[in-house]
Amino acid sequence: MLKENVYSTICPGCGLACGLYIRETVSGSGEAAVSVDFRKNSPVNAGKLCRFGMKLPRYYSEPPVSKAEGKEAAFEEAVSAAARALKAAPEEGVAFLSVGNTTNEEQLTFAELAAALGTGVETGMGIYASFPIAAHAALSRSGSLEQIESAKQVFLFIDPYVSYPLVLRRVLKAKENGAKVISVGAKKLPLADENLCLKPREYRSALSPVPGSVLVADIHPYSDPEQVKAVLDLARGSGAKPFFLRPFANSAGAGLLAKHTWQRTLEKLLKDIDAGKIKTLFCLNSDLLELAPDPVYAKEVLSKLDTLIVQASRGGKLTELADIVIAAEPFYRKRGTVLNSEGRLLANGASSTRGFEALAKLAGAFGRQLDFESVQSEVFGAFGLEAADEFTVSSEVPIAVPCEVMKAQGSDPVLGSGSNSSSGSVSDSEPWHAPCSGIGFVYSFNPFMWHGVEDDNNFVELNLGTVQKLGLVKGGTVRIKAPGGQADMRFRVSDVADGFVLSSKKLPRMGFRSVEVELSR
Amino acid sequence: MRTGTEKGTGARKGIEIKVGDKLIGYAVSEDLRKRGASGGLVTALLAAALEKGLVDRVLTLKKLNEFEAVPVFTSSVEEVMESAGSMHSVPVNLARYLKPEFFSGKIALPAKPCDARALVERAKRNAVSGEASYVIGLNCGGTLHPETTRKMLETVYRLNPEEIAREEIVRGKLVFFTKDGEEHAVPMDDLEAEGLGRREPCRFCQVKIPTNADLACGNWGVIGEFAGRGTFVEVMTEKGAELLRNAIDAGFAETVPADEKSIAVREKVNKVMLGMSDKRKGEVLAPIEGAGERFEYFRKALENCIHCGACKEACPVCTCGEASKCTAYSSLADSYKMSLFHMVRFLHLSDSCIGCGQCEDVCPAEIPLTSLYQRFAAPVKHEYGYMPGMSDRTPPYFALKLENECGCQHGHDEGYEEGCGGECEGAYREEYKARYREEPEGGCC
Repeated sequence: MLKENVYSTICPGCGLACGLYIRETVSGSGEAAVSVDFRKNSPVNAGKLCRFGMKLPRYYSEPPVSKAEGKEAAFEEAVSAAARALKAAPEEGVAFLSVGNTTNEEQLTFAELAAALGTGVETGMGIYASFPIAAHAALSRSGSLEQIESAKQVFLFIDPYVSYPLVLRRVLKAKENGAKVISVGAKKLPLADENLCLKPREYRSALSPVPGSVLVADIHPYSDPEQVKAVLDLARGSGAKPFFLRPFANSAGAGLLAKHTWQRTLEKLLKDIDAGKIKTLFCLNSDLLELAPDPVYAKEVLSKLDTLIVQASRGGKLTELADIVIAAEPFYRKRGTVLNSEGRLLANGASSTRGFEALAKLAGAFGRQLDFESVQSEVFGAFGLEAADEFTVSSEVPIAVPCEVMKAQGSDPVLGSGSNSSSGSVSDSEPWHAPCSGIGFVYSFNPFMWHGVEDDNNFVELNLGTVQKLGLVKGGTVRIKAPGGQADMRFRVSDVADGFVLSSKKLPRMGFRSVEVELSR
Repeated sequence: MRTGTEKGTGARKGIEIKVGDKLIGYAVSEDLRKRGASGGLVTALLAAALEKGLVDRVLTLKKLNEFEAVPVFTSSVEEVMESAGSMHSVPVNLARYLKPEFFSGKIALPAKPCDARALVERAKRNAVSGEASYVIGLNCGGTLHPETTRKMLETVYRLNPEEIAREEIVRGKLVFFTKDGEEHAVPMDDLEAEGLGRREPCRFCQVKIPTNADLACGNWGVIGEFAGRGTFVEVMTEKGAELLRNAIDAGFAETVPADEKSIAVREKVNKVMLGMSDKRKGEVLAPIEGAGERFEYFRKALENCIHCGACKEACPVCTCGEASKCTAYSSLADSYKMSLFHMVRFLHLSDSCIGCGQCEDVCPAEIPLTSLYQRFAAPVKHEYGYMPGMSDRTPPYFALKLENECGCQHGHDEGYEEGCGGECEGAYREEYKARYREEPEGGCC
């Protein structure tokens, strides 16, 4: 007879943190399989889920296995090995990475552990290093999703269909309520009244939001600082409200708890490892191989570490590479909270603290005694809340003027990335009429890419004109030549602007920057 | 005055219960009568079925709060008792959870008409065993999406959801009972005029009394001394009679025969509800003239689809599993104006969509999928007079002979009133009666 456990949980796919149930079916032999069920009472998504949410059984399909010194080990043994490795780690040669794929309680405990070793937690959000600290509060500005519904105008700097699908219904509601929807990106969106393909420097001159408008953009590890600055400038100049979405369920919580310090770009982190500045890296539910633009390069670099410690809720290539793996419970079984992109504190309705206990034990090895209740209380205090399902980040935080975009620590600002950004290194010629050489290759960032989950996305998108110009054949492929290599890809005909090719799948050697490519048959 | 809900006044052990009986029933336990809606009969039936081993498990809703519950299988009588009470703001279709891997032994479940219809469709496809399931049908005038309920509470009732103790739909009004003992009622018509109220598919639903279940239970027709304290129950099948006998013999429930007035009131309420549905159906499912216009209508309606697949996952009549034609022959890489996923699903559902609305409840792009499926299927359904989920003896209409045995080509829908006197008359009458609870005025053809 099958046994079934039902967990009221949160989708780990993006910073909206949609509510859902995970049904865990356990067979007589103890094998567990999960399926997704709809939680219609969830205040964030009313039971609706995107393609990634529906594919969560794939996300949870590979449980991690604890390892110590490169070999399978008991959980406690792995925790002890991690404590030994951290004690042996050279001062200033250790780094901690957690992008926000776990609870605030684990995040805060991880931060305590990092602090005990004299450092902080990296969240991969290099964007914060590109702005003066005075501007950080504006980046953390958010508001409720209902605010989008009542906006007079909605400006989309993301593609909601692909990047943050549960925003789509809010924008549709806004439109139903009479709002005008303007999309700024390389692809025409069916719901937009107006589609514009603009560079960030053109925003101020081409866009005139009325007061009461909402600017929907996002911040992620490869955000283009110029675009983020342009959105903030537009908001400041017009009185429109920016709404920054984020790619991980607890990106907002991780950012606030890290106080947006110690932020290197992921590229810089890899460079520092490559240069031997970091010898021990501890990743908490953050798969750097999946997150890196080029996993082959990332694997080479990570192999140079003395010790790679991974605490993970999922198995994968990073846990295979790691010296020490602390196999935590899957996210849906965790007790704790996440802070979503709205600034809403949400409780994950399960009871396991296995992952938390591992981190608390490690912190204890460095003289910091922590228990779950006191850590949760500290989390609530940090956000100024008394209970879950409340908002913390005031939408009335004034938008500081971000001077000039600062150069991120030791690396160039990342150009032209961004889910719906058409900016960056694309030729200065009018982008709608770019030739087939000098085509801008732009990623449509989405949860499948961030989390390394397989999807039916092995194709690129081109417009009909480009397809005809290149003489591409239906059902055939297009050859994409980039500075780092080439790939033959299936293609779909979409309403993409001239001069662009879009991909929802990470292509080898393409990097996450928008690059110029050449297209041919 | 005799109070019918006092223990010992109604039918007890050894009572003859037979198919076609119309009764008023209630739980014997005072606690259950308080916790359950309309005298707690349904909960008593489920609990007794478990207690006496008539079934191995019950599929029911585990209540988390007034607006949230999770479908669970249980063999605990206590857990069944805790599930008591109406939950109009938990619009799930329980049939979806009856999967072959869970279907061992005998199962009982409460079922709105759409749950019962979905079960029939699943049984036709051998995804569930009709013999092993005991279906306690619940009359249904419609359900509410919890997001809408919260909005109504906030904007119309001016109540905090935390204050709500329970809710009921009484004589066309949605009533919230707050923890301070107060009642707050607003007519459903007023709510629906504001774009609130029932889910859209409920507004044009064509079955209000689940005559396709083993028992058809509800508070319509419960009048006089039993009002608010009893359930009108009609015994539809021998399994239904077995359920009722079992509960009475186990001392969980009692019944008294429904009088003529009760029966008449119930029929009247049903007819009024169906009339409202017919009106809405006419507005929402009107035919679209012209092939080009039709295609453009469906293409436009689906243009915001993000291909999440939630509609298929939530669909209680989809039994294809991983081997679905709609997903196997469709790819995100396709450049078609309308995806093959939708094309295949439209065809697939044209003879099986029971209009439960689960698909559009979970659609992240707010596509009114149920209306679309129903509108797509309407012309052919009308042609063949076919209503999915009402009888497991009626094959999908693609399998119907184009000519009836009498030689006519007429369907058995309510629209055919001229009689040919042929052999299809009986089938027509059976379907008409199942829906309208009365004899048709005209004949089949």
